[in-house]
Amino acid sequence: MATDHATTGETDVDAERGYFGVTISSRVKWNLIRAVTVAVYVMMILPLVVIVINSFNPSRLGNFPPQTLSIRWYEALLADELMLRALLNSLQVGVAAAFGAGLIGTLTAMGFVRNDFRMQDALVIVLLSPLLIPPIIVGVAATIFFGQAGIPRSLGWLVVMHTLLGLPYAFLIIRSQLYLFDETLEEAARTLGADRLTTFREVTFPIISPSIITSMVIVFVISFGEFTATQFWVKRTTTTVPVVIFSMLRTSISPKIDALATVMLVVTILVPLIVLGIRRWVLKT
Amino acid sequence: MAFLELDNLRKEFGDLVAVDGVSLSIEEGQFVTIVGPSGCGKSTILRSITGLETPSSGEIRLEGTDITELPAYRRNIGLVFQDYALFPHKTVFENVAFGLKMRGAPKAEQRERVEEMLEMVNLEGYQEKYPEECSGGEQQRIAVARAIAFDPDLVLMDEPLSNLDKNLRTSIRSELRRIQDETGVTTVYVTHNQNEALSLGDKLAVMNDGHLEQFDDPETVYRNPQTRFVADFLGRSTEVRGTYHRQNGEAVAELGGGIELQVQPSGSLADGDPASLFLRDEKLKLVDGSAPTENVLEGIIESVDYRGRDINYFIEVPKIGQTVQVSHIADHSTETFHTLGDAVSVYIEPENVTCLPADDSQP
Ligand SMILES: Nc1ncnc2c1ncn2[C@@H]1O[C@H](COP(=O)(O)OP(=O)(O)OP(=O)(O)O)[C@@H](O)[C@H]1O
Ligand SMILES: [Mg+2]
Repeated sequence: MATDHATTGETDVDAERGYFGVTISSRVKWNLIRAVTVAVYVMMILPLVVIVINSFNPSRLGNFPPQTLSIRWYEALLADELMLRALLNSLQVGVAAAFGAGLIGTLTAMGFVRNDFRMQDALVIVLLSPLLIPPIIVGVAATIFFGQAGIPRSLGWLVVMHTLLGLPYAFLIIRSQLYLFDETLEEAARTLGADRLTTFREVTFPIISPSIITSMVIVFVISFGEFTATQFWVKRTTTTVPVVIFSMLRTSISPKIDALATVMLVVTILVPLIVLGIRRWVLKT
Repeated sequence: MAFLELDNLRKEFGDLVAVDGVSLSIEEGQFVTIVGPSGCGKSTILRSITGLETPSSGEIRLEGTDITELPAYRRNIGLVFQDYALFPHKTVFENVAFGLKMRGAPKAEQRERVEEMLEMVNLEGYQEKYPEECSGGEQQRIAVARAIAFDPDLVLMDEPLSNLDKNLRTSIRSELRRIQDETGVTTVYVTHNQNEALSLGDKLAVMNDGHLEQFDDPETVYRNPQTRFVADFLGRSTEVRGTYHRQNGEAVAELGGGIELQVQPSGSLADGDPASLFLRDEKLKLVDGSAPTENVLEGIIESVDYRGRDINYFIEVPKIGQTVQVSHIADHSTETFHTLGDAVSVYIEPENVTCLPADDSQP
């Protein structure tokens, strides 16, 4: 009993010695951690909240907080052809890039996981390079390349480049699920009479599809928000939301930007929620 | 013409020879077990038969047709995997119906057949469950149902019971045998469990290191092992070295120390050959000094291993300088048990002494 007490006492002293000689009880310590976490999130979210609120502020000068609320900037947005076009472009490119990266990511991941070939590690680095090279360099390099090749700017060009930018994410996510995939399931399907394609459709794809969907959502979000490289690749008719926001900021500070930013925010948050919600619903039934 | 024939099957993985020239003929409707130590090539043989592995050389014939190069999905062969490999995203119904669906069977037929199969494996009403909602034993039976549902020419099972606990293993083992009797489907069953190997099959193939050591009905394999490996692998026995002689029409082995045992020789032994004798522990009988004088070894109890039902005695036989193991069923009502240091005699019937050519590389 006595020894027991002594041991416990010692541990308590250890715990209370704290950091830099400052004694902090564990309750205070946790409260501190909590406070810092909350502060970080508040600092991240507060500016966004200000933008969202301001987008409903009828005043052009944006005095905060707004006295009344209105949707006049959204109406202005709807009337602004350039902005609508940018939104449409962004959505189209995002969806197309998501499908492109999802498809190519699945194929390359299958190729890398299921085969052994020389230079595999080196090729992985090449595949991940869009992730490793600073976007500004990718932007300039692709512009020069397409320029030299005489290919004019178009939405197709954007789709190709955004697919490329998203591919590393898709590849990594799908590959990690493929590593976990039990290949005897495919063997079982084959002994039961399924050829390669049927086996993929019936067994492999349904089982790895969560990772494909996840990667597509991520690629969409990346494409939708990509600015650094994209600014070099657009012309007036193929411009995207981030590029429009940036160019508007240089010339004016219309609250329309707040409205557009709010729309962008909503899309960025809602699309993953909806897609993942549908995924969960499909998995359940 | 046999139903399934393996003709000099060989499979190499790089430098490693996994299957080294195995030939085997299996008749229609037979239940054949293949037993052997880990890594001896059992799975590789099964995988070659299903087409999941392509042999390096040799031929596989089913009903006389060479299927060696046929892709797995074109063969009509069911395989039960060691870890079952049930499709986790499909229901039990979809799992069991998969082979039928692949063959374009209409929905109604699928439903009927799946019901029949689930009934056979005592899992009525499991159609809508998912594999993860089933216990290990249930999953095992679903895997069996799936491999049989599409009416295959042949069903192969690769250690299907090894993931189950002991009691379940025994009950499902007899269930598998019943299912095979009911369906009459030709079955090849791989195990490294001796009990399963001896009790399940009509025929038993013993493999070692890529070779087929012996292929016969289980009783013959157990009673008359043809190779030292088989004699050693099945059951428990003591190996004793000696010299083989034919004496007045009788087969005997001289063990040194003036001891001779009458033996059951394998065909290839000639007079004067070095021989290995295998004395099965359950065939050795402790006898009083008065009983038989032939085929008796005299020794001293070195240790006793009491196991309730059985007692194992380890008896040192000074004349041959070896310890033999004797196992017998303990008769608690009449028997007085021997203790350490007792002098005893051990008798073995000549036909129970397996006598094979000695392998001089292993003295
Ligand atoms: N795909 C492969 N690549 C390389 N070597 C392999 C491969 N498959 C099997 N082997 C080797 O071939 C030999 C035979 O393997 P196999 O799986 O047939 O043994 P087994 O008798 O089924 O053993 P176990 O009882 O452990 O399942 C082993 O040495 C194994 O390491
Ligand atoms: Mg195996």
